[in-house]
Amino acid sequence: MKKLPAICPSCESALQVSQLSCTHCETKVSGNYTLPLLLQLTYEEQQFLLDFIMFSGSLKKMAEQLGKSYPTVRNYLDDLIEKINHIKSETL
Amino acid sequence: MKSILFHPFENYSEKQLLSIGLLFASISIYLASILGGHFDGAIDVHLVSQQVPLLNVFIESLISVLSLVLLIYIFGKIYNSKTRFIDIVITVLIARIPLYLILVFNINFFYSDLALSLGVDPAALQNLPKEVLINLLLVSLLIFGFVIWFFVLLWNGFKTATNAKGSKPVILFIVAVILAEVVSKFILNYTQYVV
Repeated sequence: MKKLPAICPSCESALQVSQLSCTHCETKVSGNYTLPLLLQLTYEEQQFLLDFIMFSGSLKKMAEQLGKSYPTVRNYLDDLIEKINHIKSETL
Repeated sequence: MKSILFHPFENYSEKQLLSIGLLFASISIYLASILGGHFDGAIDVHLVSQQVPLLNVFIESLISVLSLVLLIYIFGKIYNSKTRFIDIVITVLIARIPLYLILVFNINFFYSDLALSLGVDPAALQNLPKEVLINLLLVSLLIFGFVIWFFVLLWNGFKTATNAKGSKPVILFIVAVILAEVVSKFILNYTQYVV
């Protein structure tokens, strides 16, 4: 599966959507759309959030499944919360 | 391998780490008693040329571990309120394992006897046989390495437990360790009269 890039490889700014297309009728919509917050996270961060939901928010179960210690998983979540808050404050 | 030696706090569960830490602490008390080791401070291990009563080593270990745990926990909480007590207990118990390994160098009171004789007459160093001198140098380097390993583990455990970033937690960590050493020395000095 191709990973959707969220950061510009040239200047490291946040990328935006400039074109959407219909695979059925080939209609193309052009514009300047900001990526949804979740898509601005890296693939690994999105995967972490999915795991968090799938484990019903239990960091202990996640740690067991990922083979990591509880504080390591909690630190990852704390860093992610900080990153989301940073993205939110930038888009406001 | 590097992960096991320096970053065990990231990849192993608290049950595994706590069991290993308690096991090594128990073994170390017995070894220190028969090999002549004193844990007379939060970050101390001293080798002597006679066996030490088991109760004394137990009390020294308990005070050393507790003072380090409490001070690091208090300063960890100041930095990050989410810091858990169990993570700090594990950090201290695992970090102390390299200190326990130092006891092995005092089999037959080798290191303490040598240090004692050199303390009495420093000039004796020049008269030591070459093999003994090389052994002494190697053992001293290994002991130095174990002490560095202890501090690296202690810091890595603190870092994981508190999600430490930047220079502020470094300063808090250093202050906590120094205070733990002072507090443990003070309490041990007092208990000498009690035991």
